[in-house]
Amino acid sequence: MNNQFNFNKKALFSVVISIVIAVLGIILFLLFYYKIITPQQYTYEQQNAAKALEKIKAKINSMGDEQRVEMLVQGFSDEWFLAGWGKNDLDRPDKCFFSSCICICKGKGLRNVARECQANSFCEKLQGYEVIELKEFEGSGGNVKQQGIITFSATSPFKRIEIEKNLSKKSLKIYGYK
Amino acid sequence: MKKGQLTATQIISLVLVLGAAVIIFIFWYNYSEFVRSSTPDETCRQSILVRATVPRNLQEYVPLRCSPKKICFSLSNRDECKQFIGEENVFKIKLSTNEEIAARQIEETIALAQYDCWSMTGKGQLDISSGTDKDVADYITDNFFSDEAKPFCLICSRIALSNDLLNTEKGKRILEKVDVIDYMENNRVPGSKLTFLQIFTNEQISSFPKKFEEALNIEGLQNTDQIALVFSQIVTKKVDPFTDAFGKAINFAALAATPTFALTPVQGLVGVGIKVAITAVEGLTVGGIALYNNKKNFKTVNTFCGRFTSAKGEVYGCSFVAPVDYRDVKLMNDLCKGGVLGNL
Repeated sequence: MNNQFNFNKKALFSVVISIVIAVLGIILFLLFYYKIITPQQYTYEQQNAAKALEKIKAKINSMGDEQRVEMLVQGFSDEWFLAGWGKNDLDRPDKCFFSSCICICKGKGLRNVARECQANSFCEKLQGYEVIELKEFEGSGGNVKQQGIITFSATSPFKRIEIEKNLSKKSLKIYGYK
Repeated sequence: MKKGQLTATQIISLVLVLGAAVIIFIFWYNYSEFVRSSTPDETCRQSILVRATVPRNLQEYVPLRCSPKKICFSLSNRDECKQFIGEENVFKIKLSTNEEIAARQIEETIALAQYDCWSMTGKGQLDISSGTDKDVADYITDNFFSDEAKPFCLICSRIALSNDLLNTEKGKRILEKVDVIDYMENNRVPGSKLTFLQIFTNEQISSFPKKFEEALNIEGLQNTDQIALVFSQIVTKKVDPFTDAFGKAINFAALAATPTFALTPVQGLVGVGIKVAITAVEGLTVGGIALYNNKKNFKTVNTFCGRFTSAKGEVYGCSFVAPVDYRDVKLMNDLCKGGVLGNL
């Protein structure tokens, strides 16, 4: 009787240990799965940038000819800028191949914009635009702050941009307001 | 016993391990199903709650699953809101042909959206700032040692008017009849004995004083075709968060400096449209501290100041939900200086 009790105690102990090991194993497997097998491809910041660019492209594609729409772009915690190249622009990032495109790139866009957009950037091709013009204004009705890029910064979570599309002139204008 | 034969203990262990795996799978599957089948509001509410209560080092694994509701008011089935071009999940409300009913539809939708926002965010009592991507050191520096308080925000809803409402005589007449404050004052929240206003103000006020109504006819109204219901929260290090938040937060003072707006197409038309933002201006025009002493004027903007439910321990601050002009980037930036949570 006593032996049987001892045996049961041993068996119970062994079962408990097995369960603990099994549960730990499952947790380790899940952690391994989420951390190693499905690694985060992009940081939160990069995901935000890619999402913002997708939204801008969706607006451009959905808006009518000669229409002007505005949207708020959710900002970033680092410095990024929006740039664009028409079909006739020679100095385009390689990512655009032979198409017109808009890119959202990390950095300040101070020097060679196309070069800055080669790495650490997201680009979307847009079909058929010979001219893509970007301008940044100080405020609504304010002076032009800079041409060619629209900047985003950590101090302004939102940026208002206006998009104007003209299919007959094959042009796209994007204006940013501080 | 033959070599290689399983003992009873091993079989039981195996069964238990398989059982545990099945239970974990069922739990995971049900959670995924719950997330999939839940309404966006419920999903957002759950993610806010979980994020505010799990330990800090686990918060980054709980993403805030909140996206603004996009509501488009229109007079016809054909007309869309151009503000939402290229965007998904737009909820279109075709207004009644009866102008009175149409105006009530707009009022009810805005009041409910504001109530939902307040309720979804734990009536302002949950620390939603937790779990941002900032590391702990930055977070502490920004929120506890910086002189500038930085509010976090969440855009609960975006409400827009279609062209047929903006550009037709009938549409303009409907907008002239819209009075959200009056609706909030005289209508009960579904399932409650209290009016929207009583709920938003902790039952402190049941009607607007005459003086305040007069104050609504102020100059400087801006017109807008889109408003956003913004939940904004400021974390402070003081036990008296109201003074701390509004006393030093120059960001919040922007509410006072910014002319308010009416959701109306007619330039300069005063006394029509959506006037709720005016209350914020009324409360803040005298300065940050005045709001503290003059809380009764801060009516339709749901406010909570006090200790938050937070995994970080004792955290104090103020939260509010306010309707703001979505096109006013400066104001939006001031309300969200610490970061935007969720999507746009």
